Amino acid sequence: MAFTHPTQRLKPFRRATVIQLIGLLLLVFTCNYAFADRKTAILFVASKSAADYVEVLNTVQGHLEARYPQGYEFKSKFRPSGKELASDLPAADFVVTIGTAAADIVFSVKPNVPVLSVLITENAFLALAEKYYGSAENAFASRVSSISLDQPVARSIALAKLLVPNARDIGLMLGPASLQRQPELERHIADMSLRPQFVSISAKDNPIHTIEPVLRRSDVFIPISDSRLINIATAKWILHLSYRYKVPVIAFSKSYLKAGALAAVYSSPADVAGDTAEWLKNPKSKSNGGLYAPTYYSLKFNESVAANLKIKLNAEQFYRDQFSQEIKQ
Amino acid sequence: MTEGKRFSSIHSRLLVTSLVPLTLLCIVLASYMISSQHVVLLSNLKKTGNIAAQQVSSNAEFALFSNNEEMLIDLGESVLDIPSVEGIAFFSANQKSFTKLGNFDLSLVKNRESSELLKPIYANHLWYFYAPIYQKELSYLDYDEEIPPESQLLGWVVVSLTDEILTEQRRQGIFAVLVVSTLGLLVAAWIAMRIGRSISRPLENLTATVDTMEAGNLNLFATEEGPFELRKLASGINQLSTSVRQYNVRMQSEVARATAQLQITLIELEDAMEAQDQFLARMSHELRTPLTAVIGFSKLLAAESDARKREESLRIISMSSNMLLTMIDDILEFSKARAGGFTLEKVTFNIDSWMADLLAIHRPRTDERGLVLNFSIDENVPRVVVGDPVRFTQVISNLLSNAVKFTDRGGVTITISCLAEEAENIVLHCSVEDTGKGIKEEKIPVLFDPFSQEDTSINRRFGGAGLGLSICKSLVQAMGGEIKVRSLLGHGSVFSFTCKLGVSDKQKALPQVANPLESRDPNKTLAGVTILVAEDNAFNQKLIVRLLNAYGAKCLTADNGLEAIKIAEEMHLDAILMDIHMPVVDGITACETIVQQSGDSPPIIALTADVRMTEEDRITKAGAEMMLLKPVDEDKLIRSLFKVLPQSESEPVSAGMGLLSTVVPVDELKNALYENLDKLDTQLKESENASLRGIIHDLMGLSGLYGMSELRELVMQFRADYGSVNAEQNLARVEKIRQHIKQFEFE
Repeated sequence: MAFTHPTQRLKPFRRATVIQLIGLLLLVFTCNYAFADRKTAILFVASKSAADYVEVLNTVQGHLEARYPQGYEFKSKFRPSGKELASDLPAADFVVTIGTAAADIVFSVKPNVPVLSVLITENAFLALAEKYYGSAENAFASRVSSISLDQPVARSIALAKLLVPNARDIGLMLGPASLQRQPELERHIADMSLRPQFVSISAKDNPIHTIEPVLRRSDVFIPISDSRLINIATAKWILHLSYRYKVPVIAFSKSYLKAGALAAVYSSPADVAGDTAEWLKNPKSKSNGGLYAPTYYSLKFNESVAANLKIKLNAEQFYRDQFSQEIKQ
Repeated sequence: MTEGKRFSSIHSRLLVTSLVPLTLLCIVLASYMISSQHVVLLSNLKKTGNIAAQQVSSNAEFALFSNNEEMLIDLGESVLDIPSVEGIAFFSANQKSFTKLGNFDLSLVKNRESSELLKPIYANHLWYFYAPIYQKELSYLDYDEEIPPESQLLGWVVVSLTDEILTEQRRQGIFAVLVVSTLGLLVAAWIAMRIGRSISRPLENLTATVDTMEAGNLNLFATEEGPFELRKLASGINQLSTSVRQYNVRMQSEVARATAQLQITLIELEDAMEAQDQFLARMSHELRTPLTAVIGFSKLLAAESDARKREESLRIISMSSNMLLTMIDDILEFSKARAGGFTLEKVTFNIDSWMADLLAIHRPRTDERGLVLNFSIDENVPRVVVGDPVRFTQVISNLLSNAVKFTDRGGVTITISCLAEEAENIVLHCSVEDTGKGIKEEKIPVLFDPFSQEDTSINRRFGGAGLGLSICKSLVQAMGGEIKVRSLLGHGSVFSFTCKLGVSDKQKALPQVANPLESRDPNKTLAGVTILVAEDNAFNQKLIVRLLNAYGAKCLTADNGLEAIKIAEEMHLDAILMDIHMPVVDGITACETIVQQSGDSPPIIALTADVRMTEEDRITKAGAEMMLLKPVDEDKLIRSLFKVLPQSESEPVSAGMGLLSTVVPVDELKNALYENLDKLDTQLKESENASLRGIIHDLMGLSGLYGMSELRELVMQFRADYGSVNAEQNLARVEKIRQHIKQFEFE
């Protein structure tokens, strides 16, 4: 009696189909296995190893590891040289610069991987993008992105309205870098049933003489973050005049707040880290660069100033809640 | 008080010493304080100006930056409220705009370089203080990585301060310092004066006290006051004065004691001198008497042709010479004791034998006086002892003689006992007790002193030189003992002495030193012996020659040393008697020459009247065998000759009855004896004591012949104490001797 092999009993087309299916399955398994083992390498480059910078770095790593415990591979560099950086860049899938100086270093080598710059003002980013890429658009094209340190002015206006509900005239100082935003701001303020009082200042102006008239007729004053030069040249005198004319100032930094502002909407290291982690988790944003406003923010009040200005402060959460609603509206 | 004295006092010096440095210190301190105060005030002024300018500058930043003159004026006015601030001015960095308030000279601050403005400027009583006004740039940005921008100079603020307040404060400070310094000086001066006084016053008191003490008042005490050192000084002065006072008292006491001692010594000396004077007077008398006889009879002898009278004169001269000899013997003995003690012999002798002789000598006397003489010697006393028998018996003899002399009834007892006995020595205790008149208690202490007798009447009554007990004391001391006396007036005295003698371990075997009285061998003769008598004195020469002739010797004579040398060189001699003191060549030189010129020189016996030991040493070294004292003792001379002459040449001649018996018949001897006794009687009756010794000496010489030892003892006894009894007693004793001769049966 003769035995027949099982495969001999299949038809030829069916045999080929089975072979093709088996091959496809093997390919899928192999790819899955290969991609499943591949970690995303993130290179952090910080301007310095100061506490705020390290906090940003660690918090970002924490967020990412919490989400994908085995998905990332981190490497940190603190103000590295161009040569040192060049050796690390090939292995990196993403480069995150923390601070202006770090962005300057990384932009200078123009890496081929997506770059995210955090802890940097919008003006500083734009200046560096123009310096190394020719324009912000070129930088975006080179997958260079930035989450700005500057909080949106709308948040400051909303906070001003919450702190000084009776305010009608709201003073805003615009510098050369922020002057083009005046119409947008004017509309936004008008929408909020407030009267904007704009003051434009240049490096040549006497800040006191320029700001004083606007500040005197404002119920609340918001200096818009501009170039470093304008910010430094005006901050002291704005606070001085604020004290003199009892006009509360809504600041854009924690240092400003400490120096004599009533309140500040600003980006803390945790806020920056949160935004960074969010950006790194979002794969779509990696295809092209862009300049993003910070999602997270911090609120802080100077109780001494508030007491002197006879402004009654509520709990921070109250303002945070009210603040969210105002922004949504 | 002169200027010099005023400033040389301790008080002034202390004031000057404390005030001058203090004043200088005050000046220096005041200057320093004023200067310091000025520096401090100026520093405060500058500090005030600087602070004011700095404070204004920090507040003026906004006003100057905004060129707000009103605000600057407000600031300036607030500064003008500060005392001393006269004015204030603000000006921009380019000095184009100025704001001025108060008293301010802008011309001083205008157009100055920045470096000049860092220091204060003084002009027209105003100090100008500058402070820069900076625009301080702060970032107020979070995470700002760039370096903060530098501060920019906005301008200057100048504050002017007047120095009027400074000057006023300085003036007040100087015034305060001067007042304080003056007050300090015054207080210091007051304290210095107090301290100075506290030192100077006790010192002045001390000085006054010392002056008083120096003047002789040592009973004063210095007050112990003031500082510790002065109190210590005062205490020291007081101790010193006490010491001086005590020393003075002690010295006074010492002086008084010494004075008293001196007085006592003076009295003793006077007594001694008196005793010596008396002694000398006595001695002079005693010596003068026989000497007078010698001189007188010598003259008579020269003029007398009658042989009998010449013989009588010679006999008296001889007797006087013997008396002189006895006295000189005593004096020499005493001198010897005083010169350094006696040279004691150390020979073995029998106490019994010597004491028997001694008693035999004294017994006639005691019998004569009707006294009982007892002698006892303890059984335990060794009979044969080693010592000087002559000195031993001499002491007892003296004491016994005195006892007999001063005892009229009762008796004398001699006791010898052994006080201590050692291996080689014994200490004998000898006492002589009498029942005589005793001695006054006050005289006992001086009894043993020389030249002293209980009273002068004793001398007159009993005779003697007063040297006996002194000699006894010296002899006893020489024999290692001591002599004592105890006496009861009217009942008698006990003289006792101790002496240390050696014990002979051969009590009987050893040859004993014979009693010289016994050992004299009259059977020996010098016949056939040639002797040179070198003597310048013709009498002595003849006496010695006659004496030696009497012994059968052939004599040659030499009047000086030179003759002696010649004779010794030319003639054969068996012996030489050499007087030391001779003319031409003295005896010592002659002796040396004779010994040296002849290898076999004859033995030489030196003769001298000088008792000095040095003389004996010299003549012995010159070659003499021995030395004899003049006047020559016949016995000693003969014995010495026998001793030095070679035995072969001095054949003893057995004379049986003695040497003289061969040449002197018994009758002649008796006649000679009677003749001498007659002479003795005559002399005693006539109180011619000067001749007695010579007669007695002749008697002794004769009595030794024919074995008349008892007679010899009687004569010796007579010789020993004829001077201490009266003439009648002496005559009775002469008669006794005469009877003894009559009764003596010559063989």
